[in-house]
Amino acid sequence: MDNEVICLSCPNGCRISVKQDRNGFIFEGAKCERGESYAYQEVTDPKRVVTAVIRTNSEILPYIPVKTDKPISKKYVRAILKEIYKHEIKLPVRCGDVVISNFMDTGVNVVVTRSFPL
Amino acid sequence: MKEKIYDVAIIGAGAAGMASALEIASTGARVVVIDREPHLGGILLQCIHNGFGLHLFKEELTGPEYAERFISEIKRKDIDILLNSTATRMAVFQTIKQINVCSSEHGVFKVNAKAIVLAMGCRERNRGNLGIPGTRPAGIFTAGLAQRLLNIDGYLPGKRVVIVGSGDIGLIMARRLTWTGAEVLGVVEILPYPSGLTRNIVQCLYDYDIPLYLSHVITKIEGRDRVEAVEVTPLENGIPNQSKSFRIECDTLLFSVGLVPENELTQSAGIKINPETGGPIVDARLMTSAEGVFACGNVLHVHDLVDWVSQEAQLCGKEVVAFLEGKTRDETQGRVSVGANLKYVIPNKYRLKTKNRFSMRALVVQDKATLMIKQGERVVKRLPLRHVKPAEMFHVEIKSEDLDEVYENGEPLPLQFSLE
Repeated sequence: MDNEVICLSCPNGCRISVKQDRNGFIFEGAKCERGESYAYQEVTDPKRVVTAVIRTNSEILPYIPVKTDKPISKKYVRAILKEIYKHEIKLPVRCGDVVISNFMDTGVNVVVTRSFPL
Repeated sequence: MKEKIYDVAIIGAGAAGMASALEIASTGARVVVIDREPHLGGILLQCIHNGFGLHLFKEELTGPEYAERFISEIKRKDIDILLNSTATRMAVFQTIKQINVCSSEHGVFKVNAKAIVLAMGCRERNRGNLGIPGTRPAGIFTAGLAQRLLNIDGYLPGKRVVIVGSGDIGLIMARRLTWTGAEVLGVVEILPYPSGLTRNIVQCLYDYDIPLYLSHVITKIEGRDRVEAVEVTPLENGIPNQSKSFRIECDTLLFSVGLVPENELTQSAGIKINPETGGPIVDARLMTSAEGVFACGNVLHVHDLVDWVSQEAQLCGKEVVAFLEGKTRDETQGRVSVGANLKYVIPNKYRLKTKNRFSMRALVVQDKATLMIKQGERVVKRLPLRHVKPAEMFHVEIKSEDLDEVYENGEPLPLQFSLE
Protein backbone atom coordinates (compact mmCIF):
# COMPACT_ATOMS: atom_id res chain seq x y z
CA MET A 1 0.00 0.00 0.00
CA ASP A 2 1.45 3.37 -1.04
CA ASN A 3 -0.14 6.50 0.25
CA GLU A 4 0.42 10.17 1.07
CA VAL A 5 -0.77 11.90 4.21
CA ILE A 6 -0.76 15.66 4.75
CA CYS A 7 0.06 16.26 8.39
CA LEU A 8 -2.30 18.67 10.14
CA SER A 9 -0.45 18.86 13.44
CA CYS A 10 0.83 22.33 12.62
CA PRO A 11 0.61 24.88 9.76
CA ASN A 12 3.70 23.36 8.07
CA GLY A 13 1.48 20.71 6.49
CA CYS A 14 4.24 18.17 5.77
CA ARG A 15 3.47 15.71 3.00
CA ILE A 16 4.34 12.34 4.47
CA SER A 17 4.65 9.38 2.15
CA VAL A 18 3.52 6.10 3.66
CA LYS A 19 4.86 2.74 2.52
CA GLN A 20 4.21 -0.64 4.01
CA ASP A 21 6.59 -3.59 4.17
CA ARG A 22 6.64 -6.80 6.21
CA ASN A 23 7.81 -4.99 9.36
CA GLY A 24 5.11 -2.32 9.28
CA PHE A 25 4.76 1.22 8.00
CA ILE A 26 7.56 3.44 6.73
CA PHE A 27 6.94 7.18 6.90
CA GLU A 28 8.99 9.71 4.94
CA GLY A 29 8.84 13.48 4.72
CA ALA A 30 7.81 14.50 8.24
CA LYS A 31 9.83 17.39 9.67
CA CYS A 32 9.07 16.38 13.26
CA GLU A 33 8.05 13.29 15.24
CA ARG A 34 4.44 14.44 15.57
CA GLY A 35 4.09 13.87 11.84
CA GLU A 36 4.80 10.17 12.15
CA SER A 37 2.21 9.54 14.84
CA TYR A 38 -0.29 11.66 12.93
CA ALA A 39 0.34 9.69 9.74
CA TYR A 40 0.12 6.38 11.63
CA GLN A 41 -3.30 7.34 13.01
CA GLU A 42 -4.44 8.53 9.57
CA VAL A 43 -3.55 5.29 7.77
CA THR A 44 -4.68 2.89 10.50
CA ASP A 45 -7.79 4.52 11.95
CA PRO A 46 -8.49 8.14 10.89
CA LYS A 47 -10.83 9.98 13.25
CA ARG A 48 -12.93 13.10 12.85
CA VAL A 49 -15.18 15.28 14.99
CA VAL A 50 -18.68 15.27 13.47
CA THR A 51 -21.00 18.26 13.80
CA ALA A 52 -24.64 18.64 12.71
CA VAL A 53 -27.93 20.23 13.72
CA ILE A 54 -30.94 18.55 15.36
CA ARG A 55 -34.57 19.58 15.02
CA THR A 56 -36.14 21.10 18.14
CA ASN A 57 -39.75 21.45 19.29
CA SER A 58 -39.48 25.26 19.15
CA GLU A 59 -40.41 27.71 16.41
CA ILE A 60 -38.07 30.37 17.78
CA LEU A 61 -35.04 28.13 17.37
CA PRO A 62 -36.01 25.23 15.06
CA TYR A 63 -32.53 23.63 15.04
CA ILE A 64 -29.85 23.22 17.68
CA PRO A 65 -26.20 22.40 16.88
CA VAL A 66 -24.53 19.21 18.16
CA LYS A 67 -21.09 17.57 17.95
CA THR A 68 -19.36 14.34 18.86
CA ASP A 69 -17.58 14.96 22.16
CA LYS A 70 -14.43 13.32 20.78
CA PRO A 71 -13.23 12.35 17.30
CA ILE A 72 -14.96 9.25 15.94
CA SER A 73 -13.54 6.71 13.46
CA LYS A 74 -14.18 7.86 9.90
CA LYS A 75 -15.94 4.59 9.12
CA TYR A 76 -18.72 5.52 11.58
CA VAL A 77 -19.31 9.04 10.24
CA ARG A 78 -22.21 8.12 7.95
CA ALA A 79 -23.85 5.95 10.60
CA ILE A 80 -23.63 8.51 13.37
CA LEU A 81 -25.03 11.24 11.11
CA LYS A 82 -27.97 8.99 10.25
CA GLU A 83 -28.60 8.45 13.94
CA ILE A 84 -28.28 12.18 14.75
CA TYR A 85 -30.86 13.12 12.10
CA LYS A 86 -33.43 10.76 13.67
CA HIS A 87 -33.50 12.79 16.87
CA GLU A 88 -35.67 15.67 17.90
CA ILE A 89 -34.84 17.63 21.02
CA LYS A 90 -37.03 19.44 23.55
CA LEU A 91 -35.99 22.92 24.65
CA PRO A 92 -34.62 24.17 26.99
CA VAL A 93 -31.16 22.64 26.47
CA ARG A 94 -27.76 23.35 27.95
CA CYS A 95 -24.43 23.21 26.14
CA GLY A 96 -23.01 19.73 26.86
CA ASP A 97 -26.37 17.92 27.23
CA VAL A 98 -25.98 14.38 25.89
CA VAL A 99 -28.24 13.48 22.96
CA ILE A 100 -26.72 10.10 22.04
CA SER A 101 -24.49 8.27 24.48
CA ASN A 102 -21.76 5.76 23.67
CA PHE A 103 -22.63 5.43 19.99
CA MET A 104 -22.17 1.80 18.85
CA ASP A 105 -19.84 1.19 21.80
CA THR A 106 -17.27 3.64 20.45
CA GLY A 107 -17.28 5.64 23.68
CA VAL A 108 -18.34 8.66 21.64
CA ASN A 109 -21.28 10.79 22.79
CA VAL A 110 -23.20 13.37 20.80
CA VAL A 111 -23.63 16.58 22.81
CA VAL A 112 -25.50 19.87 22.36
CA THR A 113 -23.22 22.85 21.59
CA ARG A 114 -25.61 25.73 22.24
CA SER A 115 -27.67 26.55 25.33
CA PHE A 116 -31.17 27.80 24.69
CA PRO A 117 -32.62 29.90 26.11
CA LEU A 118 -29.37 31.31 27.45
CA MET B 1 -37.07 61.33 19.18
CA LYS B 2 -36.12 59.20 22.18
CA GLU B 3 -32.48 59.34 23.22
CA LYS B 4 -30.42 56.91 25.28
CA ILE B 5 -27.14 58.00 26.84
CA TYR B 6 -24.10 55.79 27.45
CA ASP B 7 -20.36 56.03 27.91
CA VAL B 8 -19.69 53.57 25.09
CA ALA B 9 -21.90 52.22 22.30
CA ILE B 10 -20.75 49.07 20.51
CA ILE B 11 -22.18 48.28 17.10
CA GLY B 12 -22.29 44.53 16.49
CA ALA B 13 -22.60 41.67 19.01
CA GLY B 14 -20.32 39.17 17.30
CA ALA B 15 -16.88 38.05 18.45
CA ALA B 16 -15.40 41.57 18.29
CA GLY B 17 -18.36 43.41 19.84
CA MET B 18 -18.66 40.98 22.75
CA ALA B 19 -14.95 40.91 23.63
CA SER B 20 -14.64 44.71 23.56
CA ALA B 21 -17.86 45.13 25.58
CA LEU B 22 -16.55 42.85 28.33
CA GLU B 23 -13.24 44.66 28.47
CA ILE B 24 -14.86 48.11 28.73
CA ALA B 25 -17.65 47.13 31.13
CA SER B 26 -15.13 45.61 33.56
CA THR B 27 -14.06 49.19 34.44
CA GLY B 28 -17.61 50.19 35.35
CA ALA B 29 -18.33 52.24 32.21
CA ARG B 30 -21.95 52.26 30.96
CA VAL B 31 -21.95 50.12 27.82
CA VAL B 32 -24.61 49.29 25.23
CA VAL B 33 -24.27 46.64 22.53
CA ILE B 34 -26.45 47.05 19.42
CA ASP B 35 -27.12 44.18 17.01
CA ARG B 36 -29.61 43.62 14.19
CA GLU B 37 -29.97 39.88 14.90
CA PRO B 38 -32.24 38.40 17.61
CA HIS B 39 -29.32 36.74 19.47
CA LEU B 40 -25.87 37.67 20.72
CA GLY B 41 -23.01 35.84 19.00
CA GLY B 42 -23.00 37.04 15.40
CA ILE B 43 -21.83 34.70 12.67
CA LEU B 44 -20.30 32.29 15.22
CA LEU B 45 -23.77 30.84 15.81
CA GLN B 46 -23.98 29.47 12.28
CA CYS B 47 -20.41 28.10 12.31
CA ILE B 48 -21.36 24.80 13.96
CA HIS B 49 -18.09 23.08 12.95
CA ASN B 50 -15.20 22.85 15.40
CA GLY B 51 -11.74 24.39 15.37
CA PHE B 52 -12.39 27.66 17.20
CA GLY B 53 -10.60 28.79 20.33
CA LEU B 54 -7.33 26.83 20.02
CA HIS B 55 -5.28 29.93 20.76
CA LEU B 56 -7.55 31.68 23.26
CA PHE B 57 -8.95 28.75 25.25
CA LYS B 58 -6.40 26.03 24.31
CA GLU B 59 -9.20 23.70 23.26
CA GLU B 60 -11.20 23.06 20.12
CA LEU B 61 -14.68 24.53 20.28
CA THR B 62 -17.52 24.89 17.79
CA GLY B 63 -18.68 28.41 16.87
CA PRO B 64 -21.75 28.38 19.16
CA GLU B 65 -19.63 27.09 22.08
CA TYR B 66 -17.03 29.80 21.50
CA ALA B 67 -19.77 32.44 21.41
CA GLU B 68 -21.40 31.07 24.55
CA ARG B 69 -18.23 31.64 26.60
CA PHE B 70 -18.60 35.36 25.87
CA ILE B 71 -22.41 35.52 25.99
CA SER B 72 -22.63 34.03 29.49
CA GLU B 73 -20.05 36.51 30.73
CA ILE B 74 -21.90 39.42 29.13
CA LYS B 75 -25.12 38.35 30.82
CA ARG B 76 -23.37 38.39 34.19
CA LYS B 77 -22.18 41.97 33.66
CA ASP B 78 -24.16 45.18 33.71
CA ILE B 79 -24.22 45.66 29.93
CA ASP B 80 -27.29 46.89 28.05
CA ILE B 81 -28.15 44.83 25.00
CA LEU B 82 -30.29 46.06 22.12
CA LEU B 83 -31.18 43.15 19.84
CA ASN B 84 -33.27 43.20 16.65
CA SER B 85 -31.88 46.73 16.43
CA THR B 86 -30.27 48.14 13.31
CA ALA B 87 -27.89 51.08 13.44
CA THR B 88 -28.81 53.12 10.38
CA ARG B 89 -26.61 56.21 10.68
CA MET B 90 -23.79 57.56 12.70
CA ALA B 91 -22.79 61.17 13.36
CA VAL B 92 -19.68 62.40 15.17
CA PHE B 93 -19.76 65.70 17.04
CA GLN B 94 -16.94 67.07 19.17
CA THR B 95 -17.46 65.14 22.38
CA ILE B 96 -20.63 63.25 21.64
CA LYS B 97 -21.24 60.56 19.05
CA GLN B 98 -24.73 59.74 17.89
CA ILE B 99 -26.16 56.57 16.35
CA ASN B 100 -29.62 56.34 14.82
CA VAL B 101 -31.14 52.99 15.72
CA CYS B 102 -34.29 51.34 14.51
CA SER B 103 -35.88 48.37 16.29
CA SER B 104 -39.24 46.61 16.37
CA GLU B 105 -39.38 46.88 20.15
CA HIS B 106 -38.29 50.50 20.75
CA GLY B 107 -39.08 52.13 17.40
CA VAL B 108 -36.66 54.74 16.05
CA PHE B 109 -34.33 56.31 18.56
CA LYS B 110 -30.88 57.79 19.07
CA VAL B 111 -28.02 56.44 21.14
CA ASN B 112 -25.56 59.05 22.42
CA ALA B 113 -22.14 57.98 23.62
CA LYS B 114 -18.72 59.40 24.44
CA ALA B 115 -17.07 56.64 22.42
CA ILE B 116 -18.17 54.15 19.79
CA VAL B 117 -16.69 50.77 18.91
CA LEU B 118 -17.33 49.66 15.34
CA ALA B 119 -17.65 45.86 15.38
CA MET B 120 -19.96 45.19 12.44
CA GLY B 121 -17.85 42.45 10.92
CA CYS B 122 -17.79 41.76 7.22
CA ARG B 123 -19.94 40.37 4.45
CA GLU B 124 -19.34 38.03 1.57
CA ARG B 125 -18.35 38.93 -1.93
CA ASN B 126 -20.92 37.58 -4.36
CA ARG B 127 -21.57 36.83 -8.01
CA GLY B 128 -21.90 40.54 -8.78
CA ASN B 129 -18.36 41.16 -7.52
CA LEU B 130 -17.00 38.55 -9.94
CA GLY B 131 -19.02 39.36 -13.01
CA ILE B 132 -19.69 35.80 -14.16
CA PRO B 133 -21.64 35.67 -17.45
CA GLY B 134 -24.80 33.64 -17.94
CA THR B 135 -28.43 33.60 -16.88
CA ARG B 136 -29.75 34.63 -13.49
CA PRO B 137 -31.57 31.57 -12.18
CA ALA B 138 -32.37 30.56 -8.60
CA GLY B 139 -29.83 28.38 -6.81
CA ILE B 140 -26.94 30.83 -6.54
CA PHE B 141 -25.89 31.56 -2.96
CA THR B 142 -22.90 32.81 -1.07
CA ALA B 143 -21.39 30.03 1.07
CA GLY B 144 -22.21 31.87 4.29
CA LEU B 145 -25.84 32.29 3.32
CA ALA B 146 -26.09 28.58 2.53
CA GLN B 147 -24.48 27.92 5.92
CA ARG B 148 -27.11 30.01 7.65
CA LEU B 149 -29.98 28.36 5.75
CA LEU B 150 -28.70 24.92 6.67
CA ASN B 151 -27.47 25.41 10.23
CA ILE B 152 -29.93 27.94 11.63
CA ASP B 153 -33.07 27.59 9.53
CA GLY B 154 -32.68 23.93 8.54
CA TYR B 155 -33.08 24.25 4.76
CA LEU B 156 -30.89 22.32 2.33
CA PRO B 157 -30.01 24.86 -0.37
CA GLY B 158 -29.56 22.26 -3.13
CA LYS B 159 -28.72 18.67 -4.04
CA ARG B 160 -25.98 18.87 -6.67
CA VAL B 161 -23.60 21.64 -5.73
CA VAL B 162 -20.58 23.35 -7.29
CA ILE B 163 -18.54 25.69 -5.11
CA VAL B 164 -16.71 28.69 -6.55
CA GLY B 165 -13.61 29.71 -4.61
CA SER B 166 -11.67 27.67 -2.07
CA GLY B 167 -12.15 29.98 0.90
CA ASP B 168 -12.67 28.31 4.26
CA ILE B 169 -16.43 28.85 4.40
CA GLY B 170 -16.83 27.16 1.02
CA LEU B 171 -14.70 24.19 2.12
CA ILE B 172 -16.59 23.82 5.39
CA MET B 173 -19.85 23.92 3.41
CA ALA B 174 -18.60 21.23 1.02
CA ARG B 175 -18.32 18.82 3.96
CA ARG B 176 -21.49 20.04 5.64
CA LEU B 177 -23.52 19.57 2.45
CA THR B 178 -22.01 16.12 1.89
CA TRP B 179 -23.00 15.20 5.45
CA THR B 180 -26.58 16.31 4.81
CA GLY B 181 -26.92 14.14 1.71
CA ALA B 182 -26.15 16.65 -1.03
CA GLU B 183 -23.53 15.88 -3.65
CA VAL B 184 -20.65 18.34 -4.01
CA LEU B 185 -19.32 18.03 -7.55
CA GLY B 186 -16.26 20.23 -7.29
CA VAL B 187 -14.57 23.35 -5.98
CA VAL B 188 -13.38 25.79 -8.65
CA GLU B 189 -10.47 28.06 -7.64
CA ILE B 190 -9.06 30.78 -9.91
CA LEU B 191 -5.64 30.80 -8.16
CA PRO B 192 -3.01 28.08 -8.63
CA TYR B 193 -3.17 27.33 -4.87
CA PRO B 194 -6.10 26.86 -2.47
CA SER B 195 -7.03 29.90 -0.42
CA GLY B 196 -8.39 27.99 2.59
CA LEU B 197 -6.49 26.32 5.43
CA THR B 198 -4.74 23.02 4.61
CA ARG B 199 -6.71 21.38 7.38
CA ASN B 200 -9.97 22.23 5.61
CA ILE B 201 -8.68 21.13 2.21
CA VAL B 202 -7.86 17.71 3.67
CA GLN B 203 -10.83 17.17 5.98
CA CYS B 204 -13.54 18.77 3.85
CA LEU B 205 -12.49 17.86 0.28
CA TYR B 206 -9.99 14.97 0.21
CA ASP B 207 -11.95 12.99 2.81
CA TYR B 208 -14.93 12.91 0.44
CA ASP B 209 -13.04 12.80 -2.88
CA ILE B 210 -14.38 16.20 -3.91
CA PRO B 211 -12.33 17.47 -6.87
CA LEU B 212 -10.48 20.78 -6.45
CA TYR B 213 -9.97 22.55 -9.79
CA LEU B 214 -7.06 24.96 -9.29
CA SER B 215 -6.42 27.68 -11.92
CA HIS B 216 -9.97 27.23 -13.20
CA VAL B 217 -12.84 29.69 -13.55
CA ILE B 218 -16.59 29.51 -14.12
CA THR B 219 -17.22 30.96 -17.57
CA LYS B 220 -20.96 30.44 -17.80
CA ILE B 221 -23.98 29.72 -15.64
CA GLU B 222 -26.81 27.85 -17.41
CA GLY B 223 -30.47 27.48 -16.47
CA ARG B 224 -33.56 29.64 -16.71
CA ASP B 225 -35.53 29.18 -13.48
CA ARG B 226 -32.97 27.11 -11.57
CA VAL B 227 -29.25 26.55 -12.13
CA GLU B 228 -28.85 23.60 -14.52
CA ALA B 229 -25.12 23.55 -15.22
CA VAL B 230 -21.93 25.57 -15.09
CA GLU B 231 -19.12 25.78 -17.61
CA VAL B 232 -15.66 25.43 -16.08
CA THR B 233 -12.57 26.63 -17.97
CA PRO B 234 -8.88 26.15 -17.13
CA LEU B 235 -6.60 29.17 -17.06
CA GLU B 236 -3.42 28.99 -19.10
CA ASN B 237 -0.94 31.79 -18.36
CA GLY B 238 -3.80 33.65 -16.75
CA ILE B 239 -6.08 33.40 -19.78
CA PRO B 240 -9.14 31.10 -19.93
CA ASN B 241 -8.62 28.43 -22.60
CA GLN B 242 -12.14 27.80 -23.83
CA SER B 243 -11.16 24.90 -26.03
CA LYS B 244 -10.67 22.97 -22.79
CA SER B 245 -13.93 24.06 -21.11
CA PHE B 246 -16.15 21.40 -19.57
CA ARG B 247 -19.67 21.36 -18.18
CA ILE B 248 -20.80 20.28 -14.72
CA GLU B 249 -24.52 19.64 -14.31
CA CYS B 250 -25.70 20.98 -10.99
CA ASP B 251 -28.63 22.73 -9.35
CA THR B 252 -26.75 24.95 -6.95
CA LEU B 253 -23.74 27.24 -7.03
CA LEU B 254 -22.06 28.53 -3.86
CA PHE B 255 -19.64 31.45 -3.83
CA SER B 256 -16.79 31.46 -1.34
CA VAL B 257 -14.73 34.24 -2.85
CA GLY B 258 -13.66 36.45 0.00
CA LEU B 259 -15.07 38.86 2.51
CA VAL B 260 -15.36 42.64 2.63
CA PRO B 261 -15.54 44.68 5.85
CA GLU B 262 -19.03 46.16 6.20
CA ASN B 263 -18.41 49.90 6.46
CA GLU B 264 -21.41 51.79 5.06
CA LEU B 265 -22.19 53.07 8.56
CA THR B 266 -18.57 54.09 9.04
CA GLN B 267 -18.61 56.04 5.80
CA SER B 268 -21.91 57.74 6.75
CA ALA B 269 -19.89 59.50 9.47
CA GLY B 270 -17.20 60.55 6.99
CA ILE B 271 -14.56 58.23 8.44
CA LYS B 272 -11.55 57.49 6.18
CA ILE B 273 -11.31 54.00 4.68
CA ASN B 274 -8.10 52.10 3.87
CA PRO B 275 -8.43 50.84 0.27
CA GLU B 276 -6.17 47.83 0.97
CA THR B 277 -8.33 46.42 3.77
CA GLY B 278 -11.74 47.94 3.11
CA GLY B 279 -11.76 48.90 6.78
CA PRO B 280 -11.20 52.27 8.43
CA ILE B 281 -7.70 53.71 8.80
CA VAL B 282 -6.77 53.45 12.47
CA ASP B 283 -4.03 54.87 14.67
CA ALA B 284 -2.05 52.95 17.29
CA ARG B 285 -5.08 53.05 19.61
CA LEU B 286 -7.31 51.44 16.93
CA MET B 287 -9.08 54.80 16.72
CA THR B 288 -10.45 55.82 13.33
CA SER B 289 -10.11 59.26 11.74
CA ALA B 290 -13.05 60.35 13.91
CA GLU B 291 -11.97 61.11 17.51
CA GLY B 292 -13.57 58.63 19.90
CA VAL B 293 -14.67 56.13 17.23
CA PHE B 294 -12.74 52.85 17.42
CA ALA B 295 -12.80 49.73 15.24
CA CYS B 296 -11.87 46.09 15.76
CA GLY B 297 -12.43 42.64 14.29
CA ASN B 298 -13.50 41.96 10.73
CA VAL B 299 -14.88 45.45 10.18
CA LEU B 300 -11.29 46.68 10.50
CA HIS B 301 -9.67 43.95 8.41
CA VAL B 302 -10.77 40.39 7.64
CA HIS B 303 -9.18 37.87 10.01
CA ASP B 304 -8.77 34.13 9.38
CA LEU B 305 -9.14 33.06 13.03
CA VAL B 306 -11.77 34.27 15.48
CA ASP B 307 -9.20 34.02 18.28
CA TRP B 308 -7.35 36.98 16.76
CA VAL B 309 -10.62 38.90 16.44
CA SER B 310 -11.30 38.48 20.16
CA GLN B 311 -7.74 39.42 21.01
CA GLU B 312 -7.83 42.57 18.88
CA ALA B 313 -11.20 43.52 20.39
CA GLN B 314 -9.83 43.14 23.92
CA LEU B 315 -6.95 45.45 23.03
CA CYS B 316 -9.42 47.87 21.46
CA GLY B 317 -11.53 47.79 24.64
CA LYS B 318 -8.48 48.73 26.72
CA GLU B 319 -7.79 51.65 24.38
CA VAL B 320 -11.39 52.86 24.69
CA VAL B 321 -11.04 52.84 28.48
CA ALA B 322 -7.76 54.77 28.30
CA PHE B 323 -9.43 57.26 25.95
CA LEU B 324 -12.38 57.79 28.32
CA GLU B 325 -9.91 58.43 31.13
CA GLY B 326 -8.10 60.96 28.95
CA LYS B 327 -4.82 59.03 29.20
CA THR B 328 -3.92 58.81 25.53
CA ARG B 329 -4.93 62.26 24.33
CA ASP B 330 -1.50 63.83 23.84
CA GLU B 331 0.47 60.79 22.76
CA THR B 332 2.85 61.21 19.86
CA GLN B 333 2.46 58.64 17.12
CA GLY B 334 4.46 57.91 14.00
CA ARG B 335 3.29 56.62 10.64
CA VAL B 336 3.47 52.97 9.61
CA SER B 337 4.49 52.50 5.99
CA VAL B 338 3.85 49.32 4.02
CA GLY B 339 6.63 48.23 1.68
CA ALA B 340 7.51 45.36 -0.65
CA ASN B 341 5.43 42.15 -0.71
CA LEU B 342 2.99 43.20 1.99
CA LYS B 343 -0.70 43.86 1.37
CA TYR B 344 -1.33 45.80 4.55
CA VAL B 345 -0.22 46.42 8.12
CA ILE B 346 -2.69 47.25 10.91
CA PRO B 347 -2.68 49.65 12.76
CA ASN B 348 -1.56 52.46 10.48
CA LYS B 349 0.38 54.27 13.23
CA TYR B 350 2.73 53.28 16.05
CA ARG B 351 3.73 54.78 19.36
CA LEU B 352 7.14 55.19 20.93
CA LYS B 353 6.36 54.75 24.62
CA THR B 354 4.43 51.46 24.71
CA LYS B 355 4.46 48.01 23.14
CA ASN B 356 3.03 47.88 19.60
CA ARG B 357 1.24 44.90 18.10
CA PHE B 358 0.81 44.68 14.33
CA SER B 359 -1.24 42.37 12.13
CA MET B 360 -0.40 41.97 8.47
CA ARG B 361 -0.80 39.95 5.30
CA ALA B 362 1.71 39.04 2.62
CA LEU B 363 1.05 39.70 -1.07
CA VAL B 364 3.01 36.62 -2.14
CA VAL B 365 3.29 32.88 -1.50
CA GLN B 366 6.84 32.17 -0.38
CA ASP B 367 8.92 29.78 1.71
CA LYS B 368 11.52 31.25 4.05
CA ALA B 369 10.73 34.96 4.03
CA THR B 370 12.05 37.69 6.32
CA LEU B 371 9.95 40.47 7.72
CA MET B 372 12.04 43.65 7.92
CA ILE B 373 10.99 46.53 10.14
CA LYS B 374 13.00 49.73 9.86
CA GLN B 375 12.95 53.15 11.45
CA GLY B 376 14.64 55.32 8.85
CA GLU B 377 17.77 53.34 7.89
CA ARG B 378 18.02 51.43 11.18
CA VAL B 379 16.67 47.88 11.31
CA VAL B 380 14.36 47.58 14.31
CA LYS B 381 13.44 43.96 13.82
CA ARG B 382 14.24 41.12 11.45
CA LEU B 383 11.76 38.28 11.76
CA PRO B 384 12.34 35.05 9.84
CA LEU B 385 9.12 33.39 8.65
CA ARG B 386 8.91 29.77 7.55
CA HIS B 387 6.14 30.24 5.06
CA VAL B 388 3.98 33.20 4.06
CA LYS B 389 0.84 33.37 1.96
CA PRO B 390 -1.93 35.94 1.51
CA ALA B 391 -4.47 33.63 3.18
CA GLU B 392 -2.58 33.54 6.48
CA MET B 393 -2.38 36.65 8.60
CA PHE B 394 0.63 37.01 10.88
CA HIS B 395 1.49 39.22 13.81
CA VAL B 396 4.54 40.94 15.23
CA GLU B 397 5.14 42.78 18.48
CA ILE B 398 7.61 45.61 18.86
CA LYS B 399 8.73 46.70 22.29
CA SER B 400 9.28 50.38 23.03
CA GLU B 401 12.96 49.63 23.93
CA ASP B 402 13.57 48.65 20.31
CA LEU B 403 12.38 51.99 19.00
CA ASP B 404 14.49 55.15 18.70
CA GLU B 405 13.01 58.46 19.70
CA VAL B 406 13.95 60.20 16.45
CA TYR B 407 11.80 62.89 14.96
CA GLU B 408 11.54 64.29 11.49
CA ASN B 409 9.51 67.48 10.95
CA GLY B 410 8.12 67.10 14.48
CA GLU B 411 6.86 63.54 13.87
CA PRO B 412 8.51 60.25 14.86
CA LEU B 413 10.29 58.60 11.92
CA PRO B 414 7.92 56.34 9.95
CA LEU B 415 8.12 52.62 10.77
CA GLN B 416 8.69 50.79 7.50
CA PHE B 417 7.54 47.22 7.01
CA SER B 418 8.64 45.00 4.13
CA LEU B 419 8.98 41.33 3.30
CA GLU B 420 12.12 39.92 1.70
